[in-house]
Amino acid sequence: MRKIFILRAILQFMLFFMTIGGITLLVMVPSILFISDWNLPVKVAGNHIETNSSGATIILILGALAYLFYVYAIYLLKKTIDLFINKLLFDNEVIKKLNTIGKIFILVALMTNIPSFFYSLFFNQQYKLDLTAYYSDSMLFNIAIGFFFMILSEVFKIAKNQKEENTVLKEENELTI
Amino acid sequence: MKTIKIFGWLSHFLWATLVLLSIFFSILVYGTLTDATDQSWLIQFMGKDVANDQKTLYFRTFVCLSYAIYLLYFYAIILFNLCVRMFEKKQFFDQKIIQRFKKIGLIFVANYLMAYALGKIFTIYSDNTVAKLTNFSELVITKIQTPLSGLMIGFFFLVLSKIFKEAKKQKEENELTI
Repeated sequence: MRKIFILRAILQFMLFFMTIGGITLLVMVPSILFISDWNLPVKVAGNHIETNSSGATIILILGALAYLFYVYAIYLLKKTIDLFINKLLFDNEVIKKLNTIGKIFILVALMTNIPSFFYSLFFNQQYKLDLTAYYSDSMLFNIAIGFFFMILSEVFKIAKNQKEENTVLKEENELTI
Repeated sequence: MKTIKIFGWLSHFLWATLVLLSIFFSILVYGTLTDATDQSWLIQFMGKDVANDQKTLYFRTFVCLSYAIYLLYFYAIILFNLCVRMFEKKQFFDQKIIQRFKKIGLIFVANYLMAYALGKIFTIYSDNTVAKLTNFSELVITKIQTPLSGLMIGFFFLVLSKIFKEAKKQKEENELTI
């Protein structure tokens, strides 16, 4: 199971840089919102946002929140991989975590794409809503990944029930013998 | 299992968009294979400028390799779609799914590495001027290279394949005990 350690290393690497990004975001977003002279060009899910309107404020806050949720999902995934390493494959914790990760992925995809799309549609007349499967930052791709994690959670629940059944059957068998 | 149903529709839709993109990409590749490359393009191979008479060959090689990476990705999505169809039929711990997950994982990891290497080996500018706007190779590589999350997804599928193998073993043991 060398691959699982590589996966954990990648997740740790991602988490490290994403945490730095998250801290920068927590400092930058209030600065962008309250120091109106800056007028920085901001892009959310491929859409340009003008920072001096109330709609943009909401989108920026939602975008920042979505980013923090995403970091949390990666953290949960890393925790799940840690459980796998400890040989806890079909465990309640794993099932719960996979389900939460799935929900967060779907929430993040909706939080970043939908508001920025409508904002650009009404104010910029130039908008982007990526529905393709090819780019990993496309909305539908991320929603699909979210659903995949939720299904995995269901599948792991089935495997857990199987394992419990197996143990009961074995005990019954031994008693019969 | 409403989640599986929604996921099934989504996966069908995503697969269909990929088919459309494949047709578009194939036409583009066919165009580069039939027409000679514009001599004004600046093509570098391993950091060295390519001579005018060899530009077409190098450009075609770059386009074909990018296309191969795209086709591999497309194949991985087809395999994934097939797994979803099996999930819909409540077949979870099957040998086919285990093998497909392994293949998907390997393709994602290989694609990430190949796209990274391709970006390092080839530099193509659609003009004599070296500028971000004319950097053709970077544009193509950013389209075919999944970010670090692509590598993560690859290894995740490889791990999933092992876990599903474990679950399958359990299921078989269960059936034997009964």
